[in-house]
Amino acid sequence: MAFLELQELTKSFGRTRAVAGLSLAVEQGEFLTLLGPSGCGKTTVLRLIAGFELPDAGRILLDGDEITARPANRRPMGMVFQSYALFPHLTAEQNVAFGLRLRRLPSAEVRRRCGELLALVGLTDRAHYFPYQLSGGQQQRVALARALAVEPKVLLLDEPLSALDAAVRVTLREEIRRIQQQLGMTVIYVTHDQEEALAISDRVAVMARGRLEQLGTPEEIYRQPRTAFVAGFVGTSNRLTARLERAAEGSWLADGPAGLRLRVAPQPGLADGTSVLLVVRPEQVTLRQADGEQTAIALAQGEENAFLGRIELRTFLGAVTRFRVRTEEGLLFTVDLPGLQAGTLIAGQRVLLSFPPEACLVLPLRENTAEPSPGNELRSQEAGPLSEEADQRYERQPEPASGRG
Amino acid sequence: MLSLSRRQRGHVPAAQSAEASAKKAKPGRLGRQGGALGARLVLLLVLLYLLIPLGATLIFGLSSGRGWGDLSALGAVFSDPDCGQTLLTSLGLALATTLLVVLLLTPTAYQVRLRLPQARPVLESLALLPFAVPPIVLGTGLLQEYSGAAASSPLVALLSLGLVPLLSKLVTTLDIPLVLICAYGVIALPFAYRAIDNSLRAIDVKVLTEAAASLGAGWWRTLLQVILPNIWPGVLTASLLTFSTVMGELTLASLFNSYTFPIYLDMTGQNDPHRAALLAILSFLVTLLCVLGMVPVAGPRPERASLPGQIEGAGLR
Repeated sequence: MAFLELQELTKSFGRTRAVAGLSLAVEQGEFLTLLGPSGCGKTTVLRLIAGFELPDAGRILLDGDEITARPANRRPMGMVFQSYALFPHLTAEQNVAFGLRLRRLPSAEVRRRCGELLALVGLTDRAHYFPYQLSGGQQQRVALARALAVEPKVLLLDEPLSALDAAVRVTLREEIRRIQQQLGMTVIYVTHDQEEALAISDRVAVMARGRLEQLGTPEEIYRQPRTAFVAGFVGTSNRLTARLERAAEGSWLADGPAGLRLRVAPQPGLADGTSVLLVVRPEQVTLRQADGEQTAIALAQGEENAFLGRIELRTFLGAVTRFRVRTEEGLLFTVDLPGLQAGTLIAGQRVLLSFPPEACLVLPLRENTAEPSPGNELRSQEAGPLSEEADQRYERQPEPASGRG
Repeated sequence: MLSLSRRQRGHVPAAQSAEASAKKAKPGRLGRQGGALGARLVLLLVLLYLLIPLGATLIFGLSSGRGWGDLSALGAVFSDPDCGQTLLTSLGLALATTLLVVLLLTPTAYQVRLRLPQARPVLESLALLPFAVPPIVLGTGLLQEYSGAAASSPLVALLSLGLVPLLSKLVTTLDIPLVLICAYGVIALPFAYRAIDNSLRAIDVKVLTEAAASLGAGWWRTLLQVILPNIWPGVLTASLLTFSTVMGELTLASLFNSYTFPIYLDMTGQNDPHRAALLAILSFLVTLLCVLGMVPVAGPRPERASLPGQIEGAGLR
């Protein structure tokens, strides 16, 4: 039995169903992140676990005990809020001591543990400061120390870094991970920032419309998305809808928009004529300057998917350079190239764009499901570096002309 | 103060700020001087507006047929046993009403804001109702309700959930003007509720409550140890307003046959206006002392407290 189990949790607010039959198991010492867009129900799940909301249906089990109806103040949970929620009238040390004093620990013990915890979060010299005298990052560290002080069985973090600036966010998320590993704490972390989720989690649960879309390690979530939603939400991707054909040839071709034909890796179990979403990560696509002879050879050989196109936009992002390329067929591709490979490619230049069949993720189109169609085996892909725009949202993805998957 | 702390937080580079202030020094200083002069003038006018009537009343109280500065009237005031007795009665009533209002309103306003936000408009309307009902109507109604036959009516008992018969019994058995205290509470409601509710509005009640709950605090402990310290200025304001309202209330006390200080003042004024003027000053001073006595109870707010390292803390953001 898992350390924390959510069984068929359902919660509605009026006519809005925030959580729809969600089941999840979290192991002891695990760092699990609930990831999803705003309104997907991830915070509601956290609040159900914390006891701030009661589920309409379903059960919550912690270490074998059912805690579904237990009041929040009697659950062994610590909570860190997006808005810090420090008590304004208490100093950092008094905030940390609050939960300890409620447990009637001796004063010397309270002082000792406050000192330890403030040292853990690097705020020993800020012990006597009031919240308004601390920066956002420092306040959130105090909130973390306060939550850890009561030695919770599960630490819940509700978008704790959302209100902080980018540099502090990165530093603090690494600190949270370090502290979690140091203490062996079970952590459930809510965020809509996919980069944050992929960076610090043991496992990521991607949610949409109150349901669990996919649960897996960050690598699985990024490389082997099981639904169109996950493929679109996590990472930047080029997507187009197509229909599989010529199944008998082993190497399948997809009938894309405007009669475009793409070679994809064999998809055993998917029938001829199945509508699919093809997903190609920007780092899987290569670009090279188009010169007549080589281009003709590349196109004729047909081993890779290759298209002639023109660079519309070149954006330097630091580790990679991002290109927006429109093919002669009218498709719009986003391509990420490492600094050196980006070389002399400039906007307006004619290029040959190509990617191997293995770079195509093939997802059978069946909306609103967490599971892929039976028999579908997703192709493993080479993972490229996460771009700085990795948190680009599903709605904002640059898309091929075929429309959204 | 604000500009200093902002600069320390790094919003405005110090050099840039100094340069800007140097450029604007001349007109800025002149403007500031003009503004300070205007503020002082307004303050002086307000002080005159407040102090002239008080001074005039004091002068009138101390002037009798034997000329100005006659202290015999003052001696007469203090030698009258009714003065001290009615003053104590009023103080007791004011204190009891203040306690009742604060103890009743603070948890109610907190609970409504936390769990029943949809009930807030109703509570706000109820809190404004005493403005629409004159004290004389309120007093007459309450007397009818609690002292008359209505107190024993089963319908009244049912509608009041048994409270009217209970209070009616307490009124007759205990030597405490309970109904009068409740009536005072009603007329102080608009001021007190508004003060407490405004303080609650200034903090994130829900998140603070949830944070306290996640640390193991129950409802009462959260109210006393987390919410109350953060709305203390509002509670104090509510207390002061209630206290001073009761200290000066005449109509209800008269209807309830309660011999309070304002009644004594009124009666004295009919025979000896000079003594009444002195009593008015005395009443003012007693209320002022009580109010000043309450302020330190609130304690300095953290924001205003002189804390070790306050400036350094701001600079390290």
